[in-house]
Amino acid sequence: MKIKTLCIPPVAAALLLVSVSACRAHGTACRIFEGTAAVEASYDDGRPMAFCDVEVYFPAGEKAAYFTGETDRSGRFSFIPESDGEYRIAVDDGMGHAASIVFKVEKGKVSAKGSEKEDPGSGQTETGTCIFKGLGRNAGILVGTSMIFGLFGLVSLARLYGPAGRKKGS
Amino acid sequence: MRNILLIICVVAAVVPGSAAAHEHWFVLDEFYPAEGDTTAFSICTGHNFPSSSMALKDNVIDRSYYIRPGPGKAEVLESVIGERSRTGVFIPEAPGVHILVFVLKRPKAEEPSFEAKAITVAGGGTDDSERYIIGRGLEIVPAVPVTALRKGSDLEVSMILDGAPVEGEIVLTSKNGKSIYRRTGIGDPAVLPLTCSGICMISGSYGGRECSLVFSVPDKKGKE
Repeated sequence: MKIKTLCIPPVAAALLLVSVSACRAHGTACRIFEGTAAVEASYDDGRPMAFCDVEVYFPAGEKAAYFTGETDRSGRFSFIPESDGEYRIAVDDGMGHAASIVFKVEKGKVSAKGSEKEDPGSGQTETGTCIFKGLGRNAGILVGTSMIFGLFGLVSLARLYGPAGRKKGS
Repeated sequence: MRNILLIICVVAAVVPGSAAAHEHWFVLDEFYPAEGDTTAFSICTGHNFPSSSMALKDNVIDRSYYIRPGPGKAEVLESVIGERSRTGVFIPEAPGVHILVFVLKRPKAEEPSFEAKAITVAGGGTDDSERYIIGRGLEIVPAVPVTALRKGSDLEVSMILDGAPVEGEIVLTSKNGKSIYRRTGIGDPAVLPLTCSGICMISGSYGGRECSLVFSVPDKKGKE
């Protein structure tokens, strides 16, 4: 009985391995080039979000866009901020994928909000979302972790239902 | 113990449906309409096939059309934007295979990002799988007529780009939410087991492009 109880987590992990490996979603990412109001948006598979709609919000919390534009073929967009404050740039491909990033302008100097803590030295930050689900890069981590646990789960299943497992269980 | 395992199985069965990539596809009110019947269609987007989650904007629809039986018979498909999908109607004016198509592309992009097809057979006309090939763009092509399929059948499909077979990943999604993953090769079609009758979608990807094909598997009596 004890062996069977101990096997529940690995069995669950094995089942999740089968489930999550079916995940084929691609999320988005958006990064800012250090010291500039230039951003680059891309899909998780590395493809740029080319020729996508861009909306710039100022201040960042505003609901109406301050102005609009379009990314280039590399998924890049830049502008010259007129005033100090927080800006938010939202990129939307119109097909269900969107990415956004917030950055601060102080005395004409651009800095990505919160980037120093998350990625020291690079001056870059990333916030990607799929409109429907926030899988994105987390999906890769989830799949990888599940694969590791899943392998243990499959081994445990074999041991549980194999001749040795039945003998110990009884 | 067994109950716990059962619960885990149920949870695990639900996870793939919620983790699937978002796709674009057609849904038709009637996949086997009578000749001349007005048939409603929806252009859908989302994660939960066949339910649509959002309506595509006008500027990403590069073109939408349907191909009637006979050579060179393509007609424009008009659709209007709705709350969760785009909708429109078409009238199959002749018996036989009609292929509905929409292509998604950003206005300045050189290549489409998604190409979707649906197969309908009108008026009990001849269902010929040779007619499923458009020969342009990325598409999924069944090897046999869809009217001959039933629950439990194995369906051979190829993925082709501009008429030539390509290697890529494909996914069969049934209306019951189950997904089956396979890989197509050049000269090596994927074999997909059909687990239920009714509407189903096969989606695929190759070289950064994606496509989908929707059709309906008739039930045991041969009805949709």
